[in-house]
Amino acid sequence: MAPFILLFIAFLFAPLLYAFYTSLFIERFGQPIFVGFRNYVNAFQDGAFWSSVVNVIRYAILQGVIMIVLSLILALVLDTKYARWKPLFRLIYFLPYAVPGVFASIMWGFLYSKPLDPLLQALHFDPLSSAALLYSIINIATWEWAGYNMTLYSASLTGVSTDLYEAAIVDGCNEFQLAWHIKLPLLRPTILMTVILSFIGSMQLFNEPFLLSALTPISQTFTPNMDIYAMAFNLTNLPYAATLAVLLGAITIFISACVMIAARVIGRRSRERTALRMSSEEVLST
Amino acid sequence: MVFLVVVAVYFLIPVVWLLIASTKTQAELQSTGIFSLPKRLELLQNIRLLFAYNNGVFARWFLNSIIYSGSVAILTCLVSAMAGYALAKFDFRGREVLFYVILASMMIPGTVATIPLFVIEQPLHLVNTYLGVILPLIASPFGVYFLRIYIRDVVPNEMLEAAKVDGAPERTIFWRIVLPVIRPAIVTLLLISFIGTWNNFFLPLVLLHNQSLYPLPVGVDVLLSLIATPAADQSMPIYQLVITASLLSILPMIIGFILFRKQIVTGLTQGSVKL
Amino acid sequence: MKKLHKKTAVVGSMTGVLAVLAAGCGTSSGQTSTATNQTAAGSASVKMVDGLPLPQYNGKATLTWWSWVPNAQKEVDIFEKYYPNIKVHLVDAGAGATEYQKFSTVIQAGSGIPDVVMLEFDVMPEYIATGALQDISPWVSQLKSRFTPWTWNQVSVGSHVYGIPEDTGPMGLFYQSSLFNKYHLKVPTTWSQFQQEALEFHKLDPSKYFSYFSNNDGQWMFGLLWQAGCVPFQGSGNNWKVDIDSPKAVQVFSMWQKLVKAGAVQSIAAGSPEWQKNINAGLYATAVGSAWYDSEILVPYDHNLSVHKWRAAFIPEWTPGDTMDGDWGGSVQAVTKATKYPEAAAIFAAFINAAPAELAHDVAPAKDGGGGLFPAATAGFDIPSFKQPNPALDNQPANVDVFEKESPRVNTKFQWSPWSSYVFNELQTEIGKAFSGKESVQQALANVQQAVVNYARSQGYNVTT
Repeated sequence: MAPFILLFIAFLFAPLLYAFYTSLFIERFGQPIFVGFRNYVNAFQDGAFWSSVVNVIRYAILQGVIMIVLSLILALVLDTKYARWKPLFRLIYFLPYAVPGVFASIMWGFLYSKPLDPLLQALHFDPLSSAALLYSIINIATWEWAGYNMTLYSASLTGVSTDLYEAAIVDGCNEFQLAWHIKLPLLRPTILMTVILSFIGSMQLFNEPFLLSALTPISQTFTPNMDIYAMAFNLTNLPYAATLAVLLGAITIFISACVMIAARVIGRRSRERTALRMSSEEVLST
Repeated sequence: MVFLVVVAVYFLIPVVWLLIASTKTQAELQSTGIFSLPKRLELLQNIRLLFAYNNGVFARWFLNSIIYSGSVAILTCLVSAMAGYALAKFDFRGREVLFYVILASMMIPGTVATIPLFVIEQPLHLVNTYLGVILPLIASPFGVYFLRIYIRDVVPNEMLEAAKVDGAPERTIFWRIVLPVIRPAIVTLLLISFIGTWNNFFLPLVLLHNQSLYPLPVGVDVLLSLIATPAADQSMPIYQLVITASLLSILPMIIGFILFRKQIVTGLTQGSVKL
Repeated sequence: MKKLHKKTAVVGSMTGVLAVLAAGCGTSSGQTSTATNQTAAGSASVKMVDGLPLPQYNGKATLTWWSWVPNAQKEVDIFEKYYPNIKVHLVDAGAGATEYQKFSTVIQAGSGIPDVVMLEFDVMPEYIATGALQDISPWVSQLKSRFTPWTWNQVSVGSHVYGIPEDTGPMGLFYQSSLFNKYHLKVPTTWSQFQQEALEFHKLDPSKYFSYFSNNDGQWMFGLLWQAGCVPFQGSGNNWKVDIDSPKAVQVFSMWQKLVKAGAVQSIAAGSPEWQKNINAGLYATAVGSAWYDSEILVPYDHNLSVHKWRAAFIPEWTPGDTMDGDWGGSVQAVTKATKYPEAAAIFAAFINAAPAELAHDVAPAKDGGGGLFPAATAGFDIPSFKQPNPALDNQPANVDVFEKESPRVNTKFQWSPWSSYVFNELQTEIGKAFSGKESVQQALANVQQAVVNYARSQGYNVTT
């Protein structure tokens, strides 16, 4: 226990506390000056930071929805009796998990690169233009993580006892109804978890735009993490970088917590509804 | 079925492209279609160029990646097993609170702590060292959580009590009884944290400033940035260096992944389904 | 020296980097009990070293030097012949922004800081403000007259001097003489002529552009403002005046916006693969560049130089007869506060940039093993290889024809601010919006002005507008 606690405190807790402490200063000519919460007041008026936050939230929602829907469809389709060569498909879909984000970005970055791709030239489409950039990054992230989430869903589904399915099939459910009415509700907790994890990941978006900026101009305030990195190492302004880091952490936790609470409330309601419907069905069938 | 194949093609496109592109010369890369095959396989020549670049610094990056990933994986398992064991089988004040604090810390964006981590490490002289990158990654809340659940469910209390009655010291119990029993979970965690560290970019990017200490992703980022640097020697086939370096960086991961997929999947799902 | 791309890079002369890196981990070798004595003794004994008034150095010193000049090791070798007591370890920590990110890192880490570091002019105020640099005036202030005047202003605050200017980039207009001959165009001498010809050229040959606008390069954009006589920043220490959205600046960007909108000029990220391809294909009839443009851009990226026949000309004027110029690129060897050997570091920085033996190497083309620089020390203009016909520019002796004459015209009033990276990012973002029609140029510049003033004030600077 002790080694973990020590490491935990030294490398996770202390930095967070220290980040907060640092954020109470400004630095002039190498000397720290205590300013209280002034950095936070400034941060609240910092348009570039908030637009980067809005940017990643938009990204998180779009990417999250696309990816989770895709992984759900894949998991459910692979769980039906129609699908063949299941292990092979599962392997292929999950493969990008082994590819580091940096290399995923490089591969896609070159595929997006107009001068290297006659097709893009013919289509007059530039995936790296500022209008398309966000969607191009969404594609990279979806490629990286859809298979991972699919794997989680598949695993949750294989854990379910087959009796339940058989009962449903006896009741005349087809594969689609089975997926919609039985499997999807069963996956609810796993979906919630992947939603939250993907949201936390999205809020930290850094690698993809950072690497793509070798191929196309990307603002250093495109995402909050890029903003923080630039503050710390391009402007040598560690206190303000720390302020933004603390704020980003707070926003992420706040939204994650809201999602969890909301999901719990909705979950309880729908469970009640299901229970009601089932009992009424029982009444009818008897 | 068609749908499944289409999606499979989507997931394979970048990797297939990388394989093809790494066998071309830079001139061919820029003049031929992205999936057209080269006239002559230039892969070996590209690899030779890559290893010749900057006195073979690529080999150094590769070795560094193995050092970081290997030591983080082993130490994470050890530390998490100890902590997980304590949280699962010992009653002490604040145990539940501690567990929830660890759980909650999984929600903090990892990069948020990275900048201040840099500040904390400077008086400890850990910035720009191997240890500076390894130590923070060992403190893995996921590892502790994962092994705590596993130990709680799998290691029988009777077994531990019997050992205690026999007078075995805690250390012996941990090494001789707990670790062997949870070996499957350890293997999983080993793999997951190896992959996680191999893929990590932000932490080493912030903490290291010496090229000879870089792991592969940070090193290849340096290569990539040469494309837009006129001051760089543009007579080098930079695209080919980046592409070949990418291929060599992900190939071992893909092979390992195919070999150990079962362990990774069970681990991920066991760890996450119960959350 | 100039690096095109904002984010990163590592440079050319890669040989021996590993060995050097290993030594570059810090300046921790050796004890420093004598360091302070040397400092005190330094200013007293000035001698002539290779024709340069510099202190003698009798102690021993080991310096770490971060630089991305091509063939920098050669500079070290020459220096060590004259000062055998001072050993210099060259470290390649990347070029431009990459190096600055690493430099900021080591300053904040407090270890691994080099003794001498290569910085571009636009980041000097930032590192002076962070307290990272050392005043070296006791050893070098006598050298002031040997440098292009505006450069000395930018490495010093009052009587304090923080580094030695290395090279500059007086701006000029590069043009493909093949295209100009084909379409019977005259080299524009004023911006209104430039504008008119651009629109005509676009009609004559719609498959090409008259020029390009670097939408990812704030440094270049400020070069345009500098040349137009704008003075966006004035001040020192805590007190700064910020004036980014002057009518003159609006006029400059409005012209480019108009040409981009008409399709006569392409707005593109310089350094990007697409831009590289276009340069190679000769898609741009002209380019607004500076003294090093041929060696750092045309030679690396245009493999059809003999077909395109690029040449250099004076930068077009805003007001006919007003020959004011701006600067794009150029760098400084700065001495860090952390150095244990400030005097040795100051001597090194001064020697490599002003000693005739070094200048001969500095101005020689990079591909011939030289530094490929347009020197900040005016003595460099007298070196024979500086005056030679330039094979990359259709054998035009462009340094003599153009840049030697442009250099003294560079507006000496222009200053950089301590927030360059912030300013550049804001400017690029807002100009991008303006050029895509989302807002007017005036609005864009007003937004930049507002953001910069807010940021500077939030950091405790006393800002007037």
